[in-house]
Amino acid sequence: MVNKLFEQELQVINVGLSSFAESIQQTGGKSLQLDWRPPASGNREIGMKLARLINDPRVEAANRTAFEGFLSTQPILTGVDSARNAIPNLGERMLLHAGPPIEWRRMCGPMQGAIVGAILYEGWARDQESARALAAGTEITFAPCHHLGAVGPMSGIISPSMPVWIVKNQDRGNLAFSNLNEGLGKVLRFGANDASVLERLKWMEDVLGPALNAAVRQLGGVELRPIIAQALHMGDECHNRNAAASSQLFKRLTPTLLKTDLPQSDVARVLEFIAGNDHFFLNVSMACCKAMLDAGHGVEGSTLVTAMARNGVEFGIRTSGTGDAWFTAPAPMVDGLFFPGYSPADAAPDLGDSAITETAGIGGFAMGAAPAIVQFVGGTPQDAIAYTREMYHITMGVNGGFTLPPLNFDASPAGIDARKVVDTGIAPVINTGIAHRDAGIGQVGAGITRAPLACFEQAIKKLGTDSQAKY
Amino acid sequence: MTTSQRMIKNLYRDSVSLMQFSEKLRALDGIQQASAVMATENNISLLVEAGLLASAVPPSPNDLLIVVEGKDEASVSAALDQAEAMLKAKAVDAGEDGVRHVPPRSVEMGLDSMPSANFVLISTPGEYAAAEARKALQLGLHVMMFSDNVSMEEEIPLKQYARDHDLLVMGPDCGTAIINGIPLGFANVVRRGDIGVVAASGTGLQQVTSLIDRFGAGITQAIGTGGHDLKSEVGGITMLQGIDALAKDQATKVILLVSKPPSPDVMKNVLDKAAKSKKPVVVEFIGADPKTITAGNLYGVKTLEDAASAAVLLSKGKAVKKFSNALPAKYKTLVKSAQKKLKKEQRYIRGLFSGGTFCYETVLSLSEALGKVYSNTPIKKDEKIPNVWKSLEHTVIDLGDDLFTQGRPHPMIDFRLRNERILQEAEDPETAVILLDVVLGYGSNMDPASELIPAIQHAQKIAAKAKRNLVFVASVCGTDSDPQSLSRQEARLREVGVILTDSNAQAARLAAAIVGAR
Amino acid sequence: MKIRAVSIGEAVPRERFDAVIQSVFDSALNLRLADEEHLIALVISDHYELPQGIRIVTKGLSLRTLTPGLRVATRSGILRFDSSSLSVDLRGASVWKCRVPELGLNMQSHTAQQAWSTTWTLLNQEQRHKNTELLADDLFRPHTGSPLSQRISKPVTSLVTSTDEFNPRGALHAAGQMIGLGPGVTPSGDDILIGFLAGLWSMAGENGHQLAFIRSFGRELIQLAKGTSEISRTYLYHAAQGQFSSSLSHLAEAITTSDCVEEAARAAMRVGHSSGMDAVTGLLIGLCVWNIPSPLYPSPAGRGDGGEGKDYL
Repeated sequence: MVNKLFEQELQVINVGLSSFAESIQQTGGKSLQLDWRPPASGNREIGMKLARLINDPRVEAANRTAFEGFLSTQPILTGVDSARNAIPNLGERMLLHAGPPIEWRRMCGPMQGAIVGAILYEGWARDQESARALAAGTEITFAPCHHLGAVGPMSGIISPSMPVWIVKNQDRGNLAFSNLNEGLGKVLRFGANDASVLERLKWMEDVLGPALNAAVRQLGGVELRPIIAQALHMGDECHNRNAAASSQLFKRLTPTLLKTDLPQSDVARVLEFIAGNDHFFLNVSMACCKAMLDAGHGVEGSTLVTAMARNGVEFGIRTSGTGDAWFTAPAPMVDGLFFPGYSPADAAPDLGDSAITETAGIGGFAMGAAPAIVQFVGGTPQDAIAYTREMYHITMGVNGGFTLPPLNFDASPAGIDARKVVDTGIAPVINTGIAHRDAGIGQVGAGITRAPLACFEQAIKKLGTDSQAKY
Repeated sequence: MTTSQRMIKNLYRDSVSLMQFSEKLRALDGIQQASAVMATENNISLLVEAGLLASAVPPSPNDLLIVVEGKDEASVSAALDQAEAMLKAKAVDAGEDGVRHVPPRSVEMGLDSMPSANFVLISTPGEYAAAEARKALQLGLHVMMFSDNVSMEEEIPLKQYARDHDLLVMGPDCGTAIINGIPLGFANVVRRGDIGVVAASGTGLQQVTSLIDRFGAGITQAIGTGGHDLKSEVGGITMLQGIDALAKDQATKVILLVSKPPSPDVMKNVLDKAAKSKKPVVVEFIGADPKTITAGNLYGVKTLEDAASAAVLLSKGKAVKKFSNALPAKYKTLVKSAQKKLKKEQRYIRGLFSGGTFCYETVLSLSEALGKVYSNTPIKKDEKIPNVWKSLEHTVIDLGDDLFTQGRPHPMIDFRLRNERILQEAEDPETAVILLDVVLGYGSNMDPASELIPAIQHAQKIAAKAKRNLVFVASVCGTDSDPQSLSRQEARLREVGVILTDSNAQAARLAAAIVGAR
Repeated sequence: MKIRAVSIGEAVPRERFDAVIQSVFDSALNLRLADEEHLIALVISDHYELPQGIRIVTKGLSLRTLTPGLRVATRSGILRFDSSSLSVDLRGASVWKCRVPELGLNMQSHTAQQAWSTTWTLLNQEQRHKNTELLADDLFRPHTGSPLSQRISKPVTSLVTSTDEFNPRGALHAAGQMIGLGPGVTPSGDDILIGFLAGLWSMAGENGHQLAFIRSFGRELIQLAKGTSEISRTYLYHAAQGQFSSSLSHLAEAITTSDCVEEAARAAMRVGHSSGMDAVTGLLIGLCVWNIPSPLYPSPAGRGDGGEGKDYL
């Protein structure tokens, strides 16, 4: 091969002094200057571990397996049931929350507020005061939604009585769950917990959940990929914009809801509730993404990112090859547009499991299809396309099922490779809502943020330590 | 009724669209017949038989031949124009869409922009260089590591990986190389020819390649190995690979090796490999006795200049002469007139070098001629200069030493330190000769003469004030094709009285002759 | 965007190569290798394999954004395109190998002859329906059909006779009159020759005499192929070594096993505009040599006089 080099035109990738790239060109050679900076924030140990993982045949094989598993999922919405019945291993006094593990005292305001609300909703305490005391004690266990196959937006609190969407991956049979979207305004996921919030939750448990379950089961399940694929052609990215997807789901559910033997007033309210919430599909989209990614999880040596989630204090990721481990860093602030009367000073750090959508290759990764989203940060449609294009550089491949009209119907980037994130320093882009830092005030804005590179660096450190190279 | 034809170069359309295309042509006004086929011999004769082609045209099977038959010239030629326009219309515009692109950040991402890349040149800070080299190798690319401060623990596995995968790692600390005629790092623009070089020393490589150019020959490849390659821990992996590659390379007639003497085990392997190459191999292990090397196809030499001369002679099919240590006759009168200018107490040479190998070669040469020579890179331990900032008797300093380059550019680029030292030596009544090297090429200062001349003139004034004369001796390493131009730089230095020789070795001998017996 | 190759043909270098884009079609493009004369093809398809093909299935990919002349290179198993973010990962793709030379098809068997007849009928129907310039039946009826048919019928007949008699010079002379003849990027004459070789390879099995003939005929044919387009030449090159597209191989297999013949024939004919049909024509004609009586020549008396060939119908 050395002799082969002598017969070829020399084409040089130049890492470092740009004058070398220039002199190569001046003497008739071809060179490409890298916009290089030390990977892993200059940490040599991680940098070397990363280097060994690049194009390592064992990692590549593991990633093929993981990526195949992820891409070949057939997520079907199969119904709605109480978390108690639906989610295996959910304890009777267990509350699930968004993001990586966190104990009560360190939780952010909105999450604590939501937990108090959930305790009151379950009837485990009579008032705020005793609910707080209960949460601070040992009687209630907290666990990340992700540990039990679930995902929840914002504080992501799921309690045993709450109804949850059930999504099944027909390919492998794995299940994923998410709570039902409460709408905007004063809602539990932003930490609100007054009587109106609790009443709504109760109604969702008694009426909405069973109604949706009846409708979905009547339909024999709803295939989710086609809905997302179509929504991407209608201006959604299925994280921060779900207008089209929610309409699609509404269209599917309405005729069957009307055929159920539920009281007409209940049906009317259910339909009104769905129609009034452009984010109704978000939780379904998230459960769908969770089902897809879990199918790629647990492949030894794989650098596929299988979860990105935030608890309002920390941002955490998981990779396919590192089992249940979380790699965390402080949750970033979100760059965005604030609703009138609010400013960045009111914002809580990035929160929620909804970044599962980006992990699965929609949301911020499909922003090119949803130019409306960049308005949050004063961007142009070109910026939206640029975000998506950038993400191709850190993904293992594309999802042929999700195509993006403004990108000439190119398939969307999919399957974040932790190696590429660290090697390029390009952090995954995330579209998200912004919660008020205090419980109960709700959403104060929406915008764009990036996953912290430190999470990926820690993951590479672990993956690199596990891998034994010959040289 | 008239027919006409047109050939469209290298155009491929699938058969379906060609069929539809012919039909469209037939539907045009005034057109009876039309056909678009690949211009093969058999198709052409078929068209001639069918009367669609007046006479046979030369076949070109990769091109599309369009023939039309119509009622008159005008409609036929209009149809052909339209046909060509239809075929050449771009199906989809892939052009700019105003979307910003991320510049390539990593080697792997670089491959996305430059898929046929076959080489990575690394000049990052040393602590990150090994990781980048590792990635490049694992992606199947050859590597040159300009970066220094890479440990042997990092270097060895890289080179082993490269060897096992038939890839080249030049360096770490490889300052220069010329691959396929392209100078990399600090390198001169050298004519292409049939001499292949493998060198462990950067300036050594620049000197031999520049002299080969000066002597009218040229090179195939100049492979740098980096300074540690021939240590026994590394085992000369890159040099051995380099010899192998040049031995197999059809374009290379003569091989030239340059290094400080390797450790004995490595030396044996290198010479064994060289002996097996079946090509003449000139070996310059700077400071080693040439007689211990010369045997069969191996030619041991003593200086970099002799190495270049021997390689050029071999390349021209001539016998290699025995090289003499003596100063060539053409310099004798220069020595005489220089000596006349010097006062009695002006007894010492002060060598101020920017190239490490030039310094080393000078120390060797002066020690042989004059005895004790102090240096920061001495041959004997007791000749280490006690204070690098102050010369003592014959002193030769390598200003490229880490000691001097901390926090400032290399002396080949930044002349300030050397210029200050020139003035300092001028003040010393014992200084007779100031001996310099000047290195041209990419990476070096773009006009060294302009940097040096003010300092030389200033030094001459200082000496004149003390009623002394100073002698400046220098050699310029470079070629006329270098961006600085060898002849232009030499002319300007000569104008201010600098005595110039072709090579560094000659400069040392000339300086020694001036301060020697008088 | 990185796409994974689903399968790649046995003749495609997998680890490392340099190439330029030679031509671009809607769902395929050809790459010209730096070191070799032959092309390799990138094909978007759910099923169509080529010995020189890299197959991808990704929907939502427009090859038309790539232009001829663009550089392409594979490093460590990833194929990348200059000035395009597209890359194709070849690692992990299954290797597709054409099985035609292993078939050992026995044309004396009744079922094989029946399969042959079914295919021949389908072929002629399809050609009439599509109104192609060549009609298989016309090849054996002197002075009938389009100018192209008339021109090619003589060499085809002589190709069959010469091959039957193991006369390589005669066969090559005939092939020389067919190379590059007819419409399309792979002219009809070439497609017939490719199919013809597929027929010969299917039957040869371990018959040393026949294999020796096919190999030497193939070698010489590659030389002749300089007279046709680069794309066509590549197919001829592979045909000479017993490597054919999956659709043609499947048809040969189907005739061997008499299984799903119609389906395989329709799939094979669907390739290109007329290329598929021309190749099937060649295949069926190829299957008639070395087998007397054969479907085309039911009695020895029929040999050399193609006019009676239609009697089998």
